[in-house]
Amino acid sequence: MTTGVGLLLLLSGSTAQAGWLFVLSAGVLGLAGGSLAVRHRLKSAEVIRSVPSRLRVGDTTRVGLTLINNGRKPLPMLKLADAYPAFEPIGLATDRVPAQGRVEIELTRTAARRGVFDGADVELTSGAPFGMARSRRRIAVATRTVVVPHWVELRSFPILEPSSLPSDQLHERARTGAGEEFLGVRDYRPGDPPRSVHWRSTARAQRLVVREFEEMTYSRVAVVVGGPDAGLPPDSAFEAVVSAAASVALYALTTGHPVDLVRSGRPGMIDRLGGAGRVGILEWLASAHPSEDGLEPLAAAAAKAASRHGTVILCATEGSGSAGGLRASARIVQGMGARAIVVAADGDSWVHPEGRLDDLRRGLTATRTTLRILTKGKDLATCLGA
Amino acid sequence: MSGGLIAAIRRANAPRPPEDSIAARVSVFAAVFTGAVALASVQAISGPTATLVLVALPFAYWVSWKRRRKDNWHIKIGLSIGAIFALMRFLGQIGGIATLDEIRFPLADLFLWVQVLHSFDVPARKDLHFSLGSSLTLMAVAGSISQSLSYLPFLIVYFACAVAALSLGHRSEIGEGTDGWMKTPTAPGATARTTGRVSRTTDILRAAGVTALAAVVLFLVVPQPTGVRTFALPFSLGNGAGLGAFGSDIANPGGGAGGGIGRSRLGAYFGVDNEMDLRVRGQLSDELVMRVRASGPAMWKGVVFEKYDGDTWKVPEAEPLSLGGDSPHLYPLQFRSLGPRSHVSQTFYIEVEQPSVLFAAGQPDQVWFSGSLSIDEIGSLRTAATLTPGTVYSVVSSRGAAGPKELRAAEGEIPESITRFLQLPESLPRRVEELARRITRGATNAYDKVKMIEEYLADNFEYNIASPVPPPGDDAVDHFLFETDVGFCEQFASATTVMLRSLGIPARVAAGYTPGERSAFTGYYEVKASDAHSWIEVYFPELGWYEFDPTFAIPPSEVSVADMIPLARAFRFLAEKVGALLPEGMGAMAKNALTGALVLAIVGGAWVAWRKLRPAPRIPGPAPPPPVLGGRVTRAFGQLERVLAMAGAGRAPPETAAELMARAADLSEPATQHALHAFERERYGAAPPPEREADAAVAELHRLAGLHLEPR
Repeated sequence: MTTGVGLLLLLSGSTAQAGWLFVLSAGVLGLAGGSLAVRHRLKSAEVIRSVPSRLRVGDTTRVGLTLINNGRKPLPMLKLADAYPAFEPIGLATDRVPAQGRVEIELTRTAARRGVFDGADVELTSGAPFGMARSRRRIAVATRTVVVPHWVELRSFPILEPSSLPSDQLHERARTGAGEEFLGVRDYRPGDPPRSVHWRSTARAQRLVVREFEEMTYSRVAVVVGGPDAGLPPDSAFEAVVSAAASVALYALTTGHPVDLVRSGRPGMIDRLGGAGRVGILEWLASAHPSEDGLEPLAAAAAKAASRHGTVILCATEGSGSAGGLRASARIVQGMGARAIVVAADGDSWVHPEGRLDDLRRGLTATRTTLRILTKGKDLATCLGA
Repeated sequence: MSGGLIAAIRRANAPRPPEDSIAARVSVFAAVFTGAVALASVQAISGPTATLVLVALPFAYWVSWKRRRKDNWHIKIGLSIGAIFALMRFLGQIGGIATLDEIRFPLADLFLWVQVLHSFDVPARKDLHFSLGSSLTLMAVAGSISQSLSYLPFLIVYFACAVAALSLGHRSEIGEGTDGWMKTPTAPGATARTTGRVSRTTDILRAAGVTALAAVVLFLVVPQPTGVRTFALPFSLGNGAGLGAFGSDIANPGGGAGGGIGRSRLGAYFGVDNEMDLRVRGQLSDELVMRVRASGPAMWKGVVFEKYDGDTWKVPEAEPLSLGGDSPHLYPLQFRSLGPRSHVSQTFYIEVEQPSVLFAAGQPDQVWFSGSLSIDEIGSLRTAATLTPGTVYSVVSSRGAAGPKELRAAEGEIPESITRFLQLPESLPRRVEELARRITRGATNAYDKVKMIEEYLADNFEYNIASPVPPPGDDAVDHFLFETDVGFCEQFASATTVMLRSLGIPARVAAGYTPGERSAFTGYYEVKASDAHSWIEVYFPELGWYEFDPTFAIPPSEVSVADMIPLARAFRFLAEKVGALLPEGMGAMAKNALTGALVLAIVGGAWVAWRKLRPAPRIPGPAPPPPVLGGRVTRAFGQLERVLAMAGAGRAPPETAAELMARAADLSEPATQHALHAFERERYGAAPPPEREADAAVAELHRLAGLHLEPR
């Protein structure tokens, strides 16, 4: 544009035989030429991004960005765009950075999405001095941050709920407990094993009294995470599933249950994490991705990990298009002797306001499987019944 | 299709974020204001208009600043009405213009009012840039009118403001939509020198320097062709009434002087008169007498003389015939030369009263002149009165463009009307003709004879404005050729003409001005009184009259590319100056090579001197450590870092706290994990960790530091 104006003035000067127009055109062309002549020495720039190594989705944190000029010439005024995916894109500006100098800034940012982020490019753009000619440079900035899923501290969760056990075990556990810690005595109920009768108390009370023990053997808990996504992260069905899985897994860990986690891995593979601590669980869940693969193999792997007395918590999205996967998975778990708990995200509710999982509800009720439904907009703890 | 168009129009008209930078706004305003003042300074607008505009502009920018965030629909309506009024004013003004060239003035007025109106509504940066761009038209109009260096200060101020406006506007654009400006971390006592910080003003000055350098280089190397302009050529009457010319007489404000009187008294060349007396001597002043805007250099001929009587050249005695009609006046066919011609357009701006003749290059084919024109018997154009200061007239001339080859080959009958230019006084001594024949011995054509006589005079005669005056009764040419060997242009031209006539070659003496010096800035040829000159015209059969200058040189009829490039002209000027200091026998090529070597040595020396003497680049010392944020957990973590550094395992710049801890301790340990969490929460989190967690974290970090302090 400027060059065009300059050439037009040059032509006008020639046509009108006006010498000052040549001077004016030289000035205008000088503006354009000056812009082109300025070398934007962006190669000497180095960027350091400072972020916490671990965050929770929704956490507000400070993000530091430092631009260092390693060259012997100043860096021009420039714009810096950081698209580090853990946060919303950051745009910054800086005046000229002297040779061997640096500029920095610290911003408050909210972790926008769950994931494991190893870094991202920072783009430097300079159009100094007038913005007529621009130079760009992308710098790879390695910064590892794990944004773990949002979770809630559950006060209770029916991991030990009798209705989730196979019927023969239910029968016994409902009576006297399976542990070794003596809890107390109570009146005999039909079906109590004869060996649990506390004869001294029976004699004193003149009726049958049985001993009752607290559950002492902590069963294994396996959490399955799977299913497709619905909605847009971070407010999506799968994110709700991951958050629920994190909440339940941490609750199980807190209450003393060894926890296994199962998800789809590379095509045809199952990704499993066993015996992890709190941090391990959260980081493992941070890298979970939605999957269109069927849940059944995951359920079988989880049931195997949980063993016969364990509990498998199937956390997955379920919608009108995928009904049946959770029911089948619950049956597989129960068939392998573990008890099944289903935490289903109503995928339809992320797409349609009136989404319902009536089929799933009916199907699981028939098998007396505990069901918790996650719905868009509802509090996670409330949905989990804590 | 139409929907897309409407959407595109909506997008184009969508409100843009307002420009909040006061500095950028002030710079744009200053540029526009300078454009308006420049226009007023060249009197392109009337005094009342200039006053009104210069008051309205600051007010308009103030209104625009105050209302930059508002929907100024009522202002827009007002501006539309104002624009209609400005257009009507323009249409009214162009009704009164006499020449197409004068349309510049109403156009300047229209541009200015549009600029003022637009200034009321410049909320966004793009609007400001538009304002800045349109102010260039004001400067261009002022520049096209300006004839002097008084325009230069306006140009410098304008570009300074434009550079500041663009630079500040770009800074504002860089910061727009960002999350903030990065800052240099400063330690207590830090100064701009220690941190290497550069102020914004310095940045703008650097940009201005780069722009100025680029502009100067481009100005010097870009060719400046001046096309032959044949449309909208200006002409107008001068100030006041000049001296009337009666009958066949030429009125000359510097005339009426006798021998020995200054020949350019009052700035008008005495030689441009009814006669040229070769006995007159005088001094030449450096007063500017006229400016000529021309497509190329040429001799500005005022009059040609016919008869020589032994000491004086005379114009024909018959009364000139009126050319009649309106401009453009066409040069009568009977006076026109044939053969190849090149054209040159000229506009003359008279500064000092001149004789009642029309100065023009070569053959004035078309003349735009306010007033009556007449022509004498031999083709010189006359005006009814002297040309008063302020007179403007334009001429499109043609000059003979045949080369030496064609001129040598020019043969044929000399027309009857041309034989009058063979006249010589009977009293002319024979030895003049004999000398001419001796000089031109061996020459077979008129062209070679002219060149041989020129060469003879150049080799054997001295140029001196104060040459001896011939005694009464002596022939002036004979006296010059055989007695004094000293003379000036009139003697050289007269001697050549007389010798050529004696050889039967039609020739005549012309008087006027040399091209003068072309201003590199204004483009005008500035003609001084001292540029007054005499030269000759020689007739070639079938080709017509060709100019020769026995004293100096006639500018070539075609302008070379080198003449269009200021750098080449400057080099040629320098080469002439350097050549004058070198031995005469040295060839032009060698002189140019020496000049080039001299220029390279100067430029190279300056560059080396700059490299050696320039201040050392300001490279600051080590950057100050970043300020420590956070509380006691951060401090404990810092202690751990320092201990690790002492142990040779310090933290690398890109290393995160977690990576450092993974190196320093077992992260699977809950206590270590909690310490890391507490540190990250305190350092980066929105709220610090609870007191108990902080206590535990500090203890754990101290424990780890202690581990690394223990001897291994």
